[in-house]
Amino acid sequence: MSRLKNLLYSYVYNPIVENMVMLAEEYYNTQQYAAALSFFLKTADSTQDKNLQYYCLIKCAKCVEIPGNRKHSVMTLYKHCITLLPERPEAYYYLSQLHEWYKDWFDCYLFANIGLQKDEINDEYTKKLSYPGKNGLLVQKALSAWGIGKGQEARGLFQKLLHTEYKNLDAAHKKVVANNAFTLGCGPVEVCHVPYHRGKYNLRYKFSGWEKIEQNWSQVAQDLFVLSVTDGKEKGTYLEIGSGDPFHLNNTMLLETRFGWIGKGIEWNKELVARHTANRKNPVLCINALEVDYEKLLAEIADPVTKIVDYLQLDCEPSAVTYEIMTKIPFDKYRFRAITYEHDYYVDSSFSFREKSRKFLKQKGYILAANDISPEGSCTFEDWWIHPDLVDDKTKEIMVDVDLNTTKNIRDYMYKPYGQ
Amino acid sequence: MLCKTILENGGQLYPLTLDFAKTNGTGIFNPSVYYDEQEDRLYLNIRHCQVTLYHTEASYFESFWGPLHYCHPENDMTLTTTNYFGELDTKTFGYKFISKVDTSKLDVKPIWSFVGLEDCRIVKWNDKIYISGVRRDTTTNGEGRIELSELEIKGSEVKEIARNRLQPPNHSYCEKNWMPIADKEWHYVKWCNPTEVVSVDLETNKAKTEFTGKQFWYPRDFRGGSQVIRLNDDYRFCCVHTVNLFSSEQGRKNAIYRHCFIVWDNDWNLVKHTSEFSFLDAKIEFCAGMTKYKDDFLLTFGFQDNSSYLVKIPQDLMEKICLG
Repeated sequence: MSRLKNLLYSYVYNPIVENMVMLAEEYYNTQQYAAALSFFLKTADSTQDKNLQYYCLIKCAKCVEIPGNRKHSVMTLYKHCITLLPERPEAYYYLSQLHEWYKDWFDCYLFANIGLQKDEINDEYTKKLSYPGKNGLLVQKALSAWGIGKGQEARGLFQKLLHTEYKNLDAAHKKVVANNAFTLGCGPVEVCHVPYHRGKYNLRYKFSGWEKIEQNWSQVAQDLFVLSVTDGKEKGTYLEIGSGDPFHLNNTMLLETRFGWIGKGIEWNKELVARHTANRKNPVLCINALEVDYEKLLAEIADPVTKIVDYLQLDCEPSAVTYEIMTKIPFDKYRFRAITYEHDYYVDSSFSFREKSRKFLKQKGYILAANDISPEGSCTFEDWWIHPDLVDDKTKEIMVDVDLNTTKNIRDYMYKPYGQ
Repeated sequence: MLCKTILENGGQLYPLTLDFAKTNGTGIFNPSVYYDEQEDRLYLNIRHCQVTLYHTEASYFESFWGPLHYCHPENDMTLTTTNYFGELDTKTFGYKFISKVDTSKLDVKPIWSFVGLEDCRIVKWNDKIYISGVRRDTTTNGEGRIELSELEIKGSEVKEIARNRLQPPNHSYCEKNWMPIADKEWHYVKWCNPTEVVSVDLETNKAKTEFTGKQFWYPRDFRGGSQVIRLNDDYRFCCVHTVNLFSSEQGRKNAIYRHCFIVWDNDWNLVKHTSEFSFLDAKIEFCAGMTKYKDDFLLTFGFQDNSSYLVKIPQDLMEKICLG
């Protein structure tokens, strides 16, 4: 006899709530949601146990929700749950999810916030419902915060979930958190772009020729870092992997136009490459950075005798790709005076590529000049490296500032004179 | 609870389900069953709608619309019926096949909100398999008429190949729940108190009253249910339902459906009706199928318009229930 038939017989012989709810569960587990609703609702109507009623009504809501597009029926059931036991958090979570589905962001945010005020409960019903706990509510809050215009709050919550709760999340929530943290990045341009303007900021190191810089283009002064460690070198060389826009947040625009650097870029986006071609002197190649013959390319850029290139930019997404590209570069044949490496630790759900890249570059003989650069003090996304044999000791003393326990706000590192 | 009595006396109960892929998890109900002795095939029809019935029987947890309502898709307020027709294995009562009835040959655009052929009963007349139910989608005011749909069954494909819309002897707004008489071709029991037997002519699509019995007092109407079949050589019988429609204090509709068996002699004198019962202790249940299978009766019913069941009842038990 099938399990369903067995449970049906148990109900017929003894129609008590325990048998009703087991029959309901079996119907639910076999995707017979209408039948399941009838028996869950009958159980809720028949018992005095409020926790069981609460559980059954949530299951009823699911039975109506799964066929889709029955928002008001579902909402009413969750509201019954809240009326029954307002201190339980689950119904707030599911209501928040329901409003998320319909993009009612204010209600989504409201119910997530109320749910977060409730104490965690770990009983048989939370387990049977697979209720994800406070982290589920935090995900709802983060998603809806974005929807109601609280972008920085959303970013902060996703970052917090990624860096403090990730291992405790279920697979579905992990995906949501990782994707959203990555997509939202560290913020709008006014947050993540910290441009230099002469008169507004001082420089950590006043390298040769600094006076001719009115403004820069890099996101967080990568161009100024390169000029600092090369002491304002004229006619330097670079390889720019992940060129991006030729102007906005670009690390080589200043080098090319004010200091006469030559070099090559690599960019996958055809439109951006076209903009480069139209507006910049140095070329950008439209190719997949994973498929480049770097030995051949570097031979065209590097000093033919010393095999030195002054600057290497590694900036692709996601973290795993940037790392893989780095492993394809012939570091044993070519040396780079300065490297800016984007590990994107703040959105790397594997939490591994920052450490891998550090180990790799140390093995290649480079030293960290500045770790965990961030535009605002929390979104750590780059490490900056120098080759110790290619940077003089005085510059190293000024520019090397490493504290692996601290995220470095670019303003504190680059825009305050050394020693202050 | 009738099913408990049946199980305690040698009967069997079988849940009938359809895959989620067919139903999207919404209600399957009011099944009908028919045993074709000539072909040794046991047929089943199940009604599926794109809704789930919400009925808080104790009224503790009313929906936004009251204690009883259909949870519709919010962009589709129709009650759209699809019929699934199949064959059951006579040993296990599992499906040999179950397929959506292909009505495409005869479909016309529905113009009322109750769409499709509802609460079909299966019958075999003149060596043809029919499903007979009510259709209300052909006029803008929802006029209900019994239709007789001829099915062609090829392998697991089931097609509706002919459709007759039957006009009642006297004009009415809505005819429903006519009960085909399995052993009397082209005849239905149209009403039970007083008993009204009608014959139908598929040439004219008209029904003609052949017999009208005496009316007796009963607090509720006996409304049509299963097919009318032979209980034994002396009696025919069927399973009918009663409805207590009422409103809450706030004027929100509610209902209790109960069933009973009705027994006629060979002259259509109503000789017995049982007391009212529920099958599985729900307040909304509906029986649309009953057939004789060897030494048992098979009866099919819907529970809360959400699920379906088949119950096997030994002949002697059925006679005891019906005749005392």
